[in-house]
Amino acid sequence: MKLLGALILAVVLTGCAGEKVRERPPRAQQVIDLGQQGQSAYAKGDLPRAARLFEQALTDAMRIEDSEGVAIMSINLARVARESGESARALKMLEAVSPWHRGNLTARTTQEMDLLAAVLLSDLERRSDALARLQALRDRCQIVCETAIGIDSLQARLLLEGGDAGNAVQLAGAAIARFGDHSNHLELANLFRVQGEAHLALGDFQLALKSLESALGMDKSLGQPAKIAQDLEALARAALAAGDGAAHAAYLARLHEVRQARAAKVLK
Amino acid sequence: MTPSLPDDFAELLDRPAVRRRSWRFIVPAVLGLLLLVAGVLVKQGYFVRRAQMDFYAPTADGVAIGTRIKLLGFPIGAVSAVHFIPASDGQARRVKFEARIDAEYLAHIPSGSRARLAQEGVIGERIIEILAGTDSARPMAAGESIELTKGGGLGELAATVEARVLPVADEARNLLHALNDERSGVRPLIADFKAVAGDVSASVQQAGKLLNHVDAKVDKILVEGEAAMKSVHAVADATERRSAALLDDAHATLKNVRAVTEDGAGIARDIRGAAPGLIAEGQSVAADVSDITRGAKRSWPIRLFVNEPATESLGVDTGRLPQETRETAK
Repeated sequence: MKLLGALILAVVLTGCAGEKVRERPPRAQQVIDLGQQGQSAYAKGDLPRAARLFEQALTDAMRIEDSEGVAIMSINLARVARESGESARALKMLEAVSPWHRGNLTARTTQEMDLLAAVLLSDLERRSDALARLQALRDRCQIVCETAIGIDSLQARLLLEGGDAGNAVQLAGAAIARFGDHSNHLELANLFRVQGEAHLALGDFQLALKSLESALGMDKSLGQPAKIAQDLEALARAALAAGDGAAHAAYLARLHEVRQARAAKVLK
Repeated sequence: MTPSLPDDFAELLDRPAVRRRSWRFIVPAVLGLLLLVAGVLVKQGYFVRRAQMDFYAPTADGVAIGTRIKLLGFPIGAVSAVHFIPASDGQARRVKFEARIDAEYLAHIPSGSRARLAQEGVIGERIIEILAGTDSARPMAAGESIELTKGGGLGELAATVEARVLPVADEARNLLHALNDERSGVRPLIADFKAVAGDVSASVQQAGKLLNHVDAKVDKILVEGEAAMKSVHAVADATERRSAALLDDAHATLKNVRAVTEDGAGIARDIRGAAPGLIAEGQSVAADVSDITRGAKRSWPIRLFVNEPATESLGVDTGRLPQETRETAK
């Protein structure tokens, strides 16, 4: 009994000695709530609603000079704009974040902003600007770099698109070996896709099929219809190049089905 | 087996000095305990003077032993017993609720006061609310009774809306149907009215032409004018007859429309009166639930298992855009 009493007393005292919970001001809480609602709308593929909620959260964050909130909502809005085919507008949104806010950000948010800017520059076919931005980011990202997998993935893609498939394969392979157990499966899938396409460009069809199948498996587990379509399209090309007509036809049929469903707004 | 104290320890306790010192602890402890019990009893209202008051209602729905009684929002007592009263002396069967009321408040309940069964909030508990009568009346005495009426809940509001809106909707539908039905005579009358108005217009134009030629053909004009005026008179008579019938119908229609509108306005007023309260109560309940959830999340040890929400980004997807989106992006 004494032991039980002492145990209860110890538990209660531990609880009392715990850190006091910090109460957030209502407007700061509002930014978080709107951001979460926007994420939920984005996850469901409702981009217009997500944009409205992120815009509202951005306005609220600006009112209370919440720099982190301003930057994160700008990133989110830029993502929505990019997926709506408005990469130029998305880039302007990121550039609209004032230097004062930029000076107050966490390292992670700053890195995400720079990486997204590089991605948007690549969308706009400003390859050299994108590479320069990426190199600057890599230089700053020496010790703690939470976006390292994204940096490698984008650089590998830019190398491939610039015709340097050999270096793209090497960089993607090294990144997969380094980040194989990374929790960011979206970027891992991107790396496998780039690796597969680079193998295809080099004529290593079997390796290409293997990498692309890995990318497809990950994208399916993430439920990313647009990515699944990209993987199937690359797989169809790889099968054709490998001389496997039946596999080519099968991949094309699957691709057709996914595209039809996406066009019908069944999937994002 | 009863455990026995060591001999030397029992001997120690048995010493007079130890006994005296023990009392110094025991007496304050017992006194403290008694004070605590007394405090609890006072808080529970055991020392409050109570008076009995009875409430009568047609049914026992919504009331149970323990249902609280409030006056101007103050809890003043609770229902202590429920009895079924058989029909007698022309009185229908009723239910009697005996209540124990804080006697201090009897002075504030004038005779002639009424009581209604209400609900605290949308999902709150049922209470009996005493609606105090005029202050000039004498205060109620212990043992007197009050009639209890029901109402106030969401169910009752829904039933009221259903009972009052549906007949109005039916009436409005019938009215529209009658206006559109050719057999009702309203539409032919409107068509006749248009035709008559056309005749009048033609006759007026004709009279105008005649007046323009008044210098040239006085005699002829007089003859033609007389004929035209006869025509105008005839048309005017026909117009008057038909207009009267049309106006009667229109008047009846307007009366119906007005009645429907007044009913609708009355219901709208009622609902408008009740809706803000319900909405406010709903919001209050939602806010309470939110506060409770937030409080629970912040309390130890639950907070150890709940992640505090924070502003999060969607992250960055460095993958290529799909072909169709890419073309737009450029």
